[in-house]
Amino acid sequence: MRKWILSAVAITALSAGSARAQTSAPAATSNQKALQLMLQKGVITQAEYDAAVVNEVSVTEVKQTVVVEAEKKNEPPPVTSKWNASIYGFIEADFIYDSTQSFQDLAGNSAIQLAYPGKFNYYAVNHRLQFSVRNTRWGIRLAAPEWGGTKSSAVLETDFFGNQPANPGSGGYSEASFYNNPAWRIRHAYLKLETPVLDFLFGQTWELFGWQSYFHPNTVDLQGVPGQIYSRTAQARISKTVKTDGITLDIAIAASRPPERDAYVPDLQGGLKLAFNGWKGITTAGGTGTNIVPAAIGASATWRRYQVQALQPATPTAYQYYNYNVVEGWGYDFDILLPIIPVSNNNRANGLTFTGSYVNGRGINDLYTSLSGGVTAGSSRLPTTADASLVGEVAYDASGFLHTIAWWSYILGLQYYFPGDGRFWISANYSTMYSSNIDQFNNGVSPYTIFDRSHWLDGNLFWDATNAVRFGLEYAWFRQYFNNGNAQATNNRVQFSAWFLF
Amino acid sequence: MAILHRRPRTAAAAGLAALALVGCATMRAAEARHSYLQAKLGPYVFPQTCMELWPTALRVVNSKGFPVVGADRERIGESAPDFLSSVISDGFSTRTTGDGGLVAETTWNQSVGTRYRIEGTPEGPKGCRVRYIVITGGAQGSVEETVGPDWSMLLDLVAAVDPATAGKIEEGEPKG
Repeated sequence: MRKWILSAVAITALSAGSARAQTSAPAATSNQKALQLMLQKGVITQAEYDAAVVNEVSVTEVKQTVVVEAEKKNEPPPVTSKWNASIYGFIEADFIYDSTQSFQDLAGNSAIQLAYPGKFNYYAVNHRLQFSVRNTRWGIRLAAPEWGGTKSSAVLETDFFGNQPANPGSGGYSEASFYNNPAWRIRHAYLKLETPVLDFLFGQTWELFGWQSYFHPNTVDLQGVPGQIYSRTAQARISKTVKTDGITLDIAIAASRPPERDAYVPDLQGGLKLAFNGWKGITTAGGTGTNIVPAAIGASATWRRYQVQALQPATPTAYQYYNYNVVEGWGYDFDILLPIIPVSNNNRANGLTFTGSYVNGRGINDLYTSLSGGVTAGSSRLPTTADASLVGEVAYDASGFLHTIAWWSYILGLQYYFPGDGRFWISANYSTMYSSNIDQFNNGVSPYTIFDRSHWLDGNLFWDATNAVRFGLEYAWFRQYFNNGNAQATNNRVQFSAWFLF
Repeated sequence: MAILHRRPRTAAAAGLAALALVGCATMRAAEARHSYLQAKLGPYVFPQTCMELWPTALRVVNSKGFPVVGADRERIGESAPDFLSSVISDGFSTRTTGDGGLVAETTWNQSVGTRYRIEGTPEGPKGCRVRYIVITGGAQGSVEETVGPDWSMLLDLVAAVDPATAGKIEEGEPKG
């Protein structure tokens, strides 16, 4: 113990400059004074003092010896394993101007207010300003000690887009309640087992369809933006990752929450993703998820089943009352993340990355954000007993045949991180969507309420002011085409956002 | 209207084709360097035990902006982590493995959204093989993925303990 204290004192006394200590007599004298003080206080013995001050060379040797010894004494011993927990997330403040009164803070694929000849619409020509913190997010990651070659982990992530009684302006619900007292909700809640053979995931997280969130675009706008697959749900997933130094191949299948529980069949999804590990690019998913990732291509598909009570005559027989129709939904997508100017693992400057996704399917509108195309339960002739979640997914035609509603879409994005330290970057995105059959489901409503095509374009400027604080500015252009393209509605949005990332 | 809608699609297809061409060229250059470093550094064994090499291995990754955590901070002479840092940090300090090796994980570099797993495997009585495994997913992401060794980081470690060998490897790197 005393030897250790002597060592520590010697280190302190000598650490002002080892070179000077080794060559300078005055410095050595100063060291001797420190040692004399230790001797006077009884901290060290005469023998230890003598050993330390025999001559300068010896002092240096003592120092070199004790440094090693002191390091050994202070070095915490490695442990075999332990639990890990960490908190992550961000505080987000959004300031949003819209040229129409169409959207909440999260626009998604909601219909734009439309004015056309003969139809005056106050909301289509007047503006809106929203301040919101609802996209603030936090989560916790948990990892258990590895057991028998199996890693287990869990994630709980939340934000403040939870269910609220109504949107402002409807049902007597105030704007203050909506923006200032938002409801907390779960984004992710899942556990994951990684075994040497297969990986298993149970719980709510990104849907496998679209390999979310790997290919998400970089935008200040609150996701999901028009034309973007953006959905999380409860699921059971099995996956296998095959890794070499050059590539990583992911293969996965998942049984996700049924889009209609009363069809009692899970949404079945599968996909392949191939990443090129030596070709890395910088990407930011949404406004916050900055990440250096390998170039990758992905493909995925989904199959689902809908079962809806048959249309009823005014006085149905028992057979007619119990009758139902079944229709299948499906979808496929292709994704790409292409680092046009690659980056290294620790510098994002001058990185240029392209992201793109193409989707085609029927009965898959729930995989987008708030996409109904303007149809309603009534315009879709859905029975009053049908689940509200079916609106936009399936609809009856006038002959009583059940159809899935078709959509295809693509979304393309570019993001460039300026040279220097890469703290400034810009991005631009474009998306379009089209439905080939939604216009026919306009029972009892004006065809001007249903849009079958949309375009969305935005440009963004980001600045990481510090390691934790980020600012973003966006201009976005939304356009939708109603009544088979005979009318169009446009919304212009300007959004400024500030984040504290942790 | 149909023509109006066809033009953006044609333009998008042409743009994609152009991007793919540029991307292919940059991919070839990046993969050439990756393959070269992999060939040179894949078999490289450090002439020290993993315990002797470990503090340097941690210092290299820490100095690149990927902070080591917990007891590893003291191991490389940094101050002990404060409470908040320990709560919001992913990663773990050095652990031993069943084969006598060492493993540690850094926390996130927020700027680039990656972190590292450092693995040291004993090779004979006085040798150590090191791998820096990149973990992606981002500090804000909910899904992590490992994407293979970072040979550039390993080259930095070689440069720290064997500058002559590192210099020779760098001289032979494919240009462009």
